[in-house]
Amino acid sequence: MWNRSKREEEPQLRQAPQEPAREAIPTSTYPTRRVEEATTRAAAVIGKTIMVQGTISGKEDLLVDGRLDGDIDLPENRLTVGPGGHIEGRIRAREIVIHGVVQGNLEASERVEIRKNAKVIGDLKACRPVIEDEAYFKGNVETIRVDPPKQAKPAPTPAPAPATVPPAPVIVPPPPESRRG
Amino acid sequence: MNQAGTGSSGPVQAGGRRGAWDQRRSHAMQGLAHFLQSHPGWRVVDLGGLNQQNLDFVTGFGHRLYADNLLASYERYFTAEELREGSASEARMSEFLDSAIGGAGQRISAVLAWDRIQFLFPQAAAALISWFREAMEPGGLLLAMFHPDSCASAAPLDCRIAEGSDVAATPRPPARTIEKYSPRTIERLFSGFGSVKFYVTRDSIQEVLVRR
Repeated sequence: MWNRSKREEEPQLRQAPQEPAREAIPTSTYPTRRVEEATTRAAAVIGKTIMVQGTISGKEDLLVDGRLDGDIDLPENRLTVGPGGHIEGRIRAREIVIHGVVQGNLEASERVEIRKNAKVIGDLKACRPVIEDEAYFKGNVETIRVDPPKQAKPAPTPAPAPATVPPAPVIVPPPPESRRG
Repeated sequence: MNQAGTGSSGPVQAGGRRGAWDQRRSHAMQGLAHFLQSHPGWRVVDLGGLNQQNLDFVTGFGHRLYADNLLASYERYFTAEELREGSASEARMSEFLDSAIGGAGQRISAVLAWDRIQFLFPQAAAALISWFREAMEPGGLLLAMFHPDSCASAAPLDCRIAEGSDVAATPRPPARTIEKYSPRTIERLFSGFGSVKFYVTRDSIQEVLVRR
């Protein structure tokens, strides 16, 4: 029995190395559109045929591909205006990405991206404004300067350590392993 | 009137299809960059439409940038008849300026006009310059470019501020009829300003740096 099972396992073990070697898939750390789609997919969506009048506020990402007459307030989240999106109103969000049309002022605590073929008429205030070629923009641009966080004042240090304190350990690299015959 | 030659890596295609980027040293741009470095928090106007390079350059000094594609606004606003005749009523002209550059507000410190003035009919060009004379701070600078006298038409230049205050330019077709400006007519156009400096490039484009 034991021998039999060993025989059954053997072919499997032999087969394993026979699998064709998989080619390494080139990967990039640069964010791709697929990543962006994944993030917008999880967002709340105002679809192409939806028309909204009024203010929108919330704490989740939003994709607007329809028409909105009113303001948007998503201070901690990302707003994406899709290619079919048309917004007339003020927008405030953490991140704003525009592929469609916006008429109104934009304010983002992080970045605003105005993509190719997008049209924006209004003032823009962001930490990192990005505009692609062939995007249309008319208005004022102001970048928000983020000052580096001030270092907290160090706690009052005790008197200098006496000489009895052992010195910091010195890390000595291990000697090369000796081979035993 | 001061004149100075500038280096050029090759001629800019004045019309026809979109050419390659031509990057060159611009003494007018160097003068403007030096001015922008001197103090943060100013208002700067770019009439060539917004692009990332100019945005980074201007806001990098801590200034506020107002951008509009003046030519697109001009061609959208005026009727075909007004453009053909090269004239419009004062009310129409005033409304156009308000819609195109009114958002920039007052107390403007610098203007990047590029070559856009030359595409406007003379009445509109004069009205635009008059508007800037009122809106600019004393001591403020305006940078403009003029295609050579020999050109009857040209494609507007897409100008981007490159490293070291160079200017990279490429024509954006279609070519349009342009008004001819000689140094004398340029001086007359900016007669209400403090000074006009001319810089002639190797491809005969005149760069002008005007001080309010």
